[in-house]
Amino acid sequence: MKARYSKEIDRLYLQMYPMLFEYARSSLSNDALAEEAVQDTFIIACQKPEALCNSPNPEGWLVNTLKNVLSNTIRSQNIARRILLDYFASNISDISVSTDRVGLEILYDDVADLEEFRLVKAIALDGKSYLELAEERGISVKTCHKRVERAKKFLQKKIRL
Amino acid sequence: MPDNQHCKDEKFAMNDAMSTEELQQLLREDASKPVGEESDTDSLFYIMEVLAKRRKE
Repeated sequence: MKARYSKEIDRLYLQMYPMLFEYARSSLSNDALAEEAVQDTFIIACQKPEALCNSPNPEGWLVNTLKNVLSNTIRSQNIARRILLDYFASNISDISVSTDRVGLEILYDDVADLEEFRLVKAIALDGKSYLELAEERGISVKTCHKRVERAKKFLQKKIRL
Repeated sequence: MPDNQHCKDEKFAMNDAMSTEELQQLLREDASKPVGEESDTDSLFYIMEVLAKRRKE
């Protein structure tokens, strides 16, 4: 990246980060998710430095990019939430007729690897962020992302059947 | 202070009196606008700045 782009992004980061955080926080109602959204916005800025720095309004460019990030985040959350709720709804009879003393863990052990399933549930239903889950479990955010994606694909396939 | 800056400050001063929840609601409404619909960027930045200042306090 050219030095002048790097300098401009540094300047915008210092100036805009707290403001963009407030924008993201208002939509996501979760500090960790809001921080992730703003960081994703600056990752995009670093990937497209010319677009940002040559924009007549770089601050506005960042806000618009953040809007897209927020809309993708909310869409992903809604999809994951719907998948889980659909899955629970379609399997509710299994739970109600079950007289065994088996726990949910055994009941759903074919859904996905249990830890992965818990991660999806924590994100979709409890509104936790990847960062929070990674810290809780002592794994990297990337690993957390991978596990959730794997479980989501598994669940989607399962529901389509 | 330049005249246009003075007008801007007056225009946005009402935001100072609004509660944090009300300001957050304005940002939420902006975020849910359809793509292509113009935002009042000056007003947005003012609101974000007010909220950021309040968080610091």
